[in-house]
Amino acid sequence: MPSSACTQFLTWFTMNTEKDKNKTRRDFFKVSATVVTGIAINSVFVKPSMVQAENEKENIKIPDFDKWYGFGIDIDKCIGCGNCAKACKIENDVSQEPFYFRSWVEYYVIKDDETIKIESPNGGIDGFKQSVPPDEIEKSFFVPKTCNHCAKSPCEQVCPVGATFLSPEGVVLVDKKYCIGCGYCVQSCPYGCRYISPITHTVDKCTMCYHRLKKGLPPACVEACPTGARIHGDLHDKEGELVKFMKEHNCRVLKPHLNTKPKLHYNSLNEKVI
Amino acid sequence: MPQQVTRLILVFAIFIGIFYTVRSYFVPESWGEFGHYRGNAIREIAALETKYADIKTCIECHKENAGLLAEGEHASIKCQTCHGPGYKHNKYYELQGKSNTPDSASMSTEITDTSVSTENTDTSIQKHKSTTPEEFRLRTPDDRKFCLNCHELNSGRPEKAIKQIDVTDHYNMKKKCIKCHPPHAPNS
Ligand code: HEC
Ligand code: HEC
Ligand code: HEC
Ligand code: HEC
Repeated sequence: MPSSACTQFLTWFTMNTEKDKNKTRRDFFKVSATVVTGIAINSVFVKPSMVQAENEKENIKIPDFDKWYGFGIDIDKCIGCGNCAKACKIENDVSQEPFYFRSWVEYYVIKDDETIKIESPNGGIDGFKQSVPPDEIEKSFFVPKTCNHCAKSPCEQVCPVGATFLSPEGVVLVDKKYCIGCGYCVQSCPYGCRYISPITHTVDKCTMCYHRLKKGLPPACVEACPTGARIHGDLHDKEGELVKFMKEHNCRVLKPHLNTKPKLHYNSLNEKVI
Repeated sequence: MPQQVTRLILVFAIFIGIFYTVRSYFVPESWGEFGHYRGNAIREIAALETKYADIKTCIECHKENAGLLAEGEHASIKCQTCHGPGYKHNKYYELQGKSNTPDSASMSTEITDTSVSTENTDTSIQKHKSTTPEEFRLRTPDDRKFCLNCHELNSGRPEKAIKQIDVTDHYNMKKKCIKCHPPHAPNS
């Protein structure tokens, strides 16, 4: 569009200059200004793709404005096998080094003397060994963790280039082509869910397996859980699995006082969990 | 209109014009389509390839194993939790055609054969020979560690969610678990 306007203008201009040699510089500026403004208006208002893309095969919309995804985690069912963390790394090509996790499991041991020991050897991928003798343990349990996909995410707010955002489905995503790897978001996440990937050198985090959701599949961690301790679903769907889970159990989120509105709902979460 | 005003408007128009032209080059396509980000970023993420396949496909080809699993105590576990990501495996056998579905009869006899013949010599367990090329083969973990990852006694494991064993006090300390517990139906 802009280029055709340009050629039109050029032909018109040359034609006129031939006819009328008395054209002033001022005339030239006037015409130029009109044309430039024209192009500008054009480029602002006509967007290349106004239409929403749709996956026709399964009628899955990308993005889908009707959905509002969240996770449910049932601590009573978590056996600490680490299959969720393992599957996550495989599915999402996360570095196998033991410092990088999108999803991991923590082992909490509350001892008789009220001290707390928290461990997560390799994110739990290789399983856990009981490191405290049984007679010293008051209570112990596993807490699987991942991105909370906060509705008011601090990470999204601090990004200087708009590379991290909340999708219409409520999934916090990272645009790796736009991320400059400054690490502000890594600092701002109160749940420690982000890291700078050693492979892409951009920030990386849980995508709720967005690519799987858009193929009608559950996230890899949910697929891998042997006991059904992880539940993924649509919070808008009142009949759905996740809403049912939240109705039947007393769920809690992590660090509610920060008002980040997390969407990772834990059943039986001990108050000592941070 | 006074001349100054016209000139001023003109200068403004030029600057605004230049601003928007430059902006249109620097702001990426699809920016702001759904919000303050590249709309195409969503599409790019959605288009990534999966590695864990749809479990329904496994069941179609491996009816026998799926049937065993569904009736046993391991019913809540899905194939790929134990066997690893199966997308490539699926694609490979789909291209080969469904006629290549594993001959369940020969497979299961071989398995029972080995479990009888190698009852005492645990180290030389003779497994069913997989015909799948290395790249598309799924793991069939038969070591004790694999089972113990879930079943080893641990104070953190909820008793209700999983039965646990004390490794030092569960029948034979060296024997592979699958000798006594077929993995797809562990109590049979
Ligand atoms: C508890 C973990 C577990 C689950 C869940 C599981 N398997 Fe297995 N499977 C095994 C193990 C362990 C072996 C290896 C047995 C051996 O070496 O004798 C195996 C072997 C196999 C084999 C090789 C041939 C045979 O029959 O031994 C096939 C095929 C198979 N599984 C398919 C499946 C399918 C399909 C599913 C899902 C419906 C599934 N498995 C679920 C653990 C599992
Ligand atoms: C299109 C049919 C098909 C599909 C789909 C399929 N398989 Fe297979 N699978 C086969 C065939 C054929 C074999 C080879 C059996 C043999 O070697 O005798 C096999 C072998 C296996 C084995 C034995 C080890 C190996 O790789 O040779 C396992 C375990 C297995 N499949 C699990 C799965 C799981 C889990 C899924 C789902 C992700 C799956 N299969 C999907 C056809 C299929
Ligand atoms: C990914 C975790 C996982 C793995 C790996 C696993 N199991 Fe299980 N197993 C379970 C769950 C979950 C149950 C069902 C809950 C329960 O124990 O009642 C179960 C049930 C059982 C039971 C029945 C307990 C009962 O009496 O109800 C036996 C026996 C068993 N598993 C043996 C094995 C053996 C042998 C292996 C190794 C081939 C194995 N399991 C691997 C998770 C696992
Ligand atoms: C020599 C055969 C044998 C071997 C080897 C064996 N088991 Fe068992 N297992 C049994 C028998 C028999 C039972 C049922 C009786 C019982 O509960 O003690 C059983 C019960 C179980 C149970 C259910 C326990 C319960 O509380 O009901 C689990 C879980 C289990 N085994 C897991 C394993 C695992 C994991 C391994 C490998 C490390 C293994 N077994 C090795 C024979 C064996």
